[in-house]
Amino acid sequence: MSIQKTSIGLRGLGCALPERFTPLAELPLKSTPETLAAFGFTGAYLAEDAHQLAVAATQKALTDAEVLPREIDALLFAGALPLAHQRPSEQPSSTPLNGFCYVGSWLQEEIGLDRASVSGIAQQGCAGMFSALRVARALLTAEPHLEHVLCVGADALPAGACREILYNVISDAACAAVVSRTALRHRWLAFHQISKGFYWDVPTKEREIIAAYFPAARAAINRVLSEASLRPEDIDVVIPTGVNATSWPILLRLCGIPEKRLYTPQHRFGHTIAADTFLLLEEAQATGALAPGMRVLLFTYGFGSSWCALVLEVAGEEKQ
Amino acid sequence: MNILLTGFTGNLGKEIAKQLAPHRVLALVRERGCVEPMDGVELLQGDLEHLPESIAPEVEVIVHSAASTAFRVPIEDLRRTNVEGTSRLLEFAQTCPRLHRFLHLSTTCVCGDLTGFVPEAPLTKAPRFVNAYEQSKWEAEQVVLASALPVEIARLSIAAGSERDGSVRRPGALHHTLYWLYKGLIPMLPGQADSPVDLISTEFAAAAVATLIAADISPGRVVHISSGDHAPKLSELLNFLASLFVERNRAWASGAIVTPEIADAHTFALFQNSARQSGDLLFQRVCEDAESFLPGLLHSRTLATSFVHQIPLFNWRVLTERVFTWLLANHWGRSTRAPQPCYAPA
Repeated sequence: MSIQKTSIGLRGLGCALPERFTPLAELPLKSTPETLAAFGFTGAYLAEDAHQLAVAATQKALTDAEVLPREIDALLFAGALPLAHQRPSEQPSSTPLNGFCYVGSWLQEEIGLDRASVSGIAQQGCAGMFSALRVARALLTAEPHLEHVLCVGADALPAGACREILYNVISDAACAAVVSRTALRHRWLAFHQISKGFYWDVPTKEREIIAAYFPAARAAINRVLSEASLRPEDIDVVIPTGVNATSWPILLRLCGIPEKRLYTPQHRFGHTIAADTFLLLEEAQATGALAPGMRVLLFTYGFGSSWCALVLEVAGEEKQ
Repeated sequence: MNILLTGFTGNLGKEIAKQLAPHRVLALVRERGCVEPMDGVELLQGDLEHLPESIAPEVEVIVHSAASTAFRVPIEDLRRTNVEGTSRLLEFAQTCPRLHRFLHLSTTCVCGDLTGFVPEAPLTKAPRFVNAYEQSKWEAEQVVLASALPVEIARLSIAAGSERDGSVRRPGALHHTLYWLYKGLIPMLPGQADSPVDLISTEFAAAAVATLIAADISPGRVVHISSGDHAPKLSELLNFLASLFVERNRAWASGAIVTPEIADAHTFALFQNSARQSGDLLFQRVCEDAESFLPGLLHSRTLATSFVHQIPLFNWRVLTERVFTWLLANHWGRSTRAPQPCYAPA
């Protein structure tokens, strides 16, 4: 089987979790701790400032990619909640100007991404980082003079907020990836996103969303495999998210992907909105679970609703 | 012929009485005052615990259609109606000097987890049952077959509703499942794409009963009132339902709601377990409804139907569309208003 080798992919990756971990019993939740423990959750990481996590994740990704901040051509900042895109002013006032203090711009200044153009990715829920990667690849494809696009995702729930969403325990976290043309860790093979506006009203359609999850997830995965000219059994590793652990074997069985291909996380951090997949991809990479040539499936769901599936090939190219 | 009919107020009772019309039909009902009278049918006050002994000398045929179809109650409760009730009716039948036929209406669900071709024959060895209802109906068959009376058993598959106007007298698990499906609340169904879904119409079931009654008695005979090898495949039925839903529901038309996944037994069990763990009451209800009707789809079988080929077979697509349209127009059978026929009687 021949796979079209593209010269775009992930060159560097970085993630950051807060230091403070709070066990289930001490979190504000909707379900009982026992119910959530049965779904594989132990607690959540809570951040004082998610934007500082974004800085940490970005620095790690740049180091991993061996790219300097001023070499970044574009920054795409992804956040699920409106609050994620706003940085409090250093001199807060009651004027509407406070609403124009953007995290992307703040991050550019903090890190010194001086040459980068800055944009935000929103309204994707937990799929924000997937959309950022997709746009990054599209930018590199459409504008040949660009070399490196930095994608950063960071989310934190407001202090005191319920930490459970649809039977998932939510941690605060950030992730970053440098999308480039050379020295790739992971080569991009295919991406597919299905969006269904019918589910825009999350509180009203909560149960319909749960019911729609599996059929739409399977459709997105089938489509991405078809776009990559792969069969389900050609996938070597499936990187899960931190959502309800019992849902992954069901999804893999529906898709015809052998269950043993599901990566088993060593570190449990719950569901971090945008960063799960990348925390676990980074972990799989660090623990030697990935080898060059392996095909890796990444999948996530985001409120909106969007179902995103991405297939990467482990490249392991040398840095120059 | 004087025919005593039990289960008149059930899903099939009225239609059976209608098709037995040339005969004198004595319908056993719990509350005579609460039942709408029907031409040619005499309503008799009573139930399986209080049988009207005074009419015993007149009864020539008994059609035993009454049963508890509550899938989720304990076996002891189901036995009271389905097994002990049948025993009492058999005892009563022994006191009917002119009786020459006792027709027991059973269900193809007594096949439990049997797969493949199922002949029209007694099931002497109990299969593994999916629920207590199946078990109680199998036990009732054993009681009937052990009787010295001239007994016959007719096993019916799933009666979906009227092929004439789509009406459903008592919506059951099938209709509840259809509701959840339409609302986009069923993510997956157990079975295989080619699992047959054996649906029959009320009229077909009643016509089969009337034909049996008109034929010579064959004591100990078991027949299947089913669509046999005309039954639609699960994927075929789901696609047809989707084509109906698309015309009436924007979420289906836009592709937001799609046909559920068809999952193998293990995958479906994982899903049920996950729904149970969540403690979500609505999903548990969906699973319970599904559990009472859907497991049959996991045991793919074709029922022998030698007898029913004598009756014109309904078109399953027409039946499905009429039943769905009726359910939609009548709030899925929860309407307090008089049912609205969606099609003029043929």
